[in-house]
Amino acid sequence: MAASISTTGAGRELVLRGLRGALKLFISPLVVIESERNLQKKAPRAIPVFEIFKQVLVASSVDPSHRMVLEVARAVALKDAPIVAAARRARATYLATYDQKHLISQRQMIQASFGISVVFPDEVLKAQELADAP
Amino acid sequence: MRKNLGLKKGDLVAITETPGGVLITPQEVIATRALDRIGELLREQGLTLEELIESGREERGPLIEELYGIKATNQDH
Repeated sequence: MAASISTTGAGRELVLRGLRGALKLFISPLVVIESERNLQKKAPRAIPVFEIFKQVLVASSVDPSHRMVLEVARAVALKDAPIVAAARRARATYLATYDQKHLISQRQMIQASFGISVVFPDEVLKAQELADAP
Repeated sequence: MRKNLGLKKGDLVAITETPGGVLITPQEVIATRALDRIGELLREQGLTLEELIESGREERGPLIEELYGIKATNQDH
């Protein structure tokens, strides 16, 4: 959603870097279905375009098990557990989000419990640029 | 041919058959166009990212039950 609403933002750049193969992106089926249902309610005319986007998005689908979701839900709110569990299952370094209220606010706890850095998309871009710097 | 099309080795493309021949479009172009259009439609509705995050979250409770068989309680927000 963030990648679509801002044409110049870091969310968009993350997706494009994924397409270029500069970053390895993972997405959970839950996030895809949630986005689809959200669009269906809020802007149904966007659904056919979203279908096209899904076909070209280069991201590995990662679906955590029921057990993993329950385990993570011991530490974070159930609604956030599948997202954190998917990042954990993917062995992701970063969980990029704009959800400040529910995820960014829990970044220290999620880092300590699961070893995943919950960050804004621009933080991933900056980290990659630093890593690539000579 | 790749150079003529401005493509680098490893660039992903979409191939579409048309009556006039084969259309080769870089996937990045397709993704950018799709995201632009979705954004346009969302802005037309006056929606902000914060509102979309919240409305997405409302969808998530029933979705977690469907996908993982886990029912949210009143304490799970």
